Amino acid sequence: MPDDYSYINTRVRIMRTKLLDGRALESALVSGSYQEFLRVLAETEGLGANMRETTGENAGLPELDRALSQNLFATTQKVLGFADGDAKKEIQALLMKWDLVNLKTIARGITSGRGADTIAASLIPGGSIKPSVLQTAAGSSDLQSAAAALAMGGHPLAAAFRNGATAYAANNRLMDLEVALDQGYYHHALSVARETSLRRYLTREIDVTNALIARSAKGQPLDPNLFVAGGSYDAGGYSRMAAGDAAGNADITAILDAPTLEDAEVAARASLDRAARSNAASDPEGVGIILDFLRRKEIEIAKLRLIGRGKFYDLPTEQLRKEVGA
Amino acid sequence: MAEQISPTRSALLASKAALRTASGGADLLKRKRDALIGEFFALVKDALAAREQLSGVSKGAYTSLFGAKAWDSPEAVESLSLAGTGDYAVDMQIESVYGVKVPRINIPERAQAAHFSPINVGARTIQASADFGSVLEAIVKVAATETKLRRIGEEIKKTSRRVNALEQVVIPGIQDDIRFVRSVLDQREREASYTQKKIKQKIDAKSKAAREAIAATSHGSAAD
Repeated sequence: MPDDYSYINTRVRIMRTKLLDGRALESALVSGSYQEFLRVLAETEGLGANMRETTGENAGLPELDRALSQNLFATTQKVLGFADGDAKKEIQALLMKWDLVNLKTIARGITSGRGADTIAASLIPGGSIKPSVLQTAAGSSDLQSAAAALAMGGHPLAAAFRNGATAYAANNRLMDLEVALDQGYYHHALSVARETSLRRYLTREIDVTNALIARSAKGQPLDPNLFVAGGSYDAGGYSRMAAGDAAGNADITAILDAPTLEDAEVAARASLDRAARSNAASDPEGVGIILDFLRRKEIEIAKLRLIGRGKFYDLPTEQLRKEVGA
Repeated sequence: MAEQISPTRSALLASKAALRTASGGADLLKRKRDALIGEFFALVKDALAAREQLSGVSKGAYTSLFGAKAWDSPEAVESLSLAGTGDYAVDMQIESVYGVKVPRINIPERAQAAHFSPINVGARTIQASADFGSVLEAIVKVAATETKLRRIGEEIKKTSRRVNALEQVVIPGIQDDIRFVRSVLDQREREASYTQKKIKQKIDAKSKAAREAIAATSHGSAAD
């Protein structure tokens, strides 16, 4: 629905002006101390309101992390609030990454016998699942009950969770449940994406994900169960990735040939950044602008977490600059 | 001296036997202590290596965690800590080193595969998870070597105290007893000898007086 997107994109373009520009990031990077770093953030338009708690007595990195997460999740929810109909479904599909984290938290908590309070405390206020549904799922005594709670809430990943729970019941392997959730997420996101720039981006993301798995398994047999369908590679192409064959895709070659896993991740991040920017440029009346904004926001928060940690532990600025630029 | 020993020859013999036992015991304990010290220094090398390994892997693990929490979000990384019960079973047996009971811990082979899906999890998080597995192994190794070291150290201290007690208290005490008994016995011997001399002198004097009396009597009869 292009009409929806013209309104949402106008709002998002305004929000994009509040993202920290290179100069603000540089000021944060060169700040002489952790306190100065907090002051720099407190003076920014986008983050100032969330930084109060971080300057309190005995405040440290947990308060900074909380403030940055609150800012990120408030921003994503604000963007979601602009949308309706198909546009909302597409944006929700992007935010469902956080649902995936919450569902995995619930699954991990239930399978390891943690209490409902412990699980609830580990949930994040992001994503698209209603807090009441999350609380009910977190309080479930077993995985099937949690899946039922999610299905009652009408969440698209409830079926994937139920399938994962069944897989877990069969072999007691939590990893199978998590893989079912991951694959269910991409399956759902692709089904929502229609033929838009979101589909192009998701296809790239799936390729990058498969390439990262192939890179991390370098020298060892590739687990076919970890293949995520929906990208530009089929299962055969995925298995050839283990041998370094990227079928001529330069971005995937950069990931597969990276000397270390960290370098592979840097290459993956760069590839997704390029994909998001290209989508924003090629799809100014669609989801591309939002996708690019959400990615920029996420990266901005990640860089601030990194700089904050660096300042807290008094790491050399040059080392931090290298890490942030990575 | 706790109690006065009776100054008899049998007590002297018993004290001499006790002295031999105490000296032998002290000698044995010294040899045990020397052997334990040798074992201790051999273990110190292992303990230092284990500490160094722990320090190295911890540094790497915290660096990985640093990056993981920043790039993959603290929430997603902390969520991973809920997976698994946190139980870590080790195979521990008790072995004896010169009579000292020390634990021997066999570190189990760690499963290389992660318990979570690597899809949508950053390389740094996967690295941090693997690194903290190594930290756990290194902690168990440090615990094993340092417990052994502490037990042997305590035994060295205990043995040294026993050696000191034997050398500084028990053996000098027995030696004092022996000296005491010997001096009493010598004194008695000297007294007996003196008494015998005196008796002999008296007997001699008596017999001399008797001889003189006989001689005087025979002179008197001849003059008449």
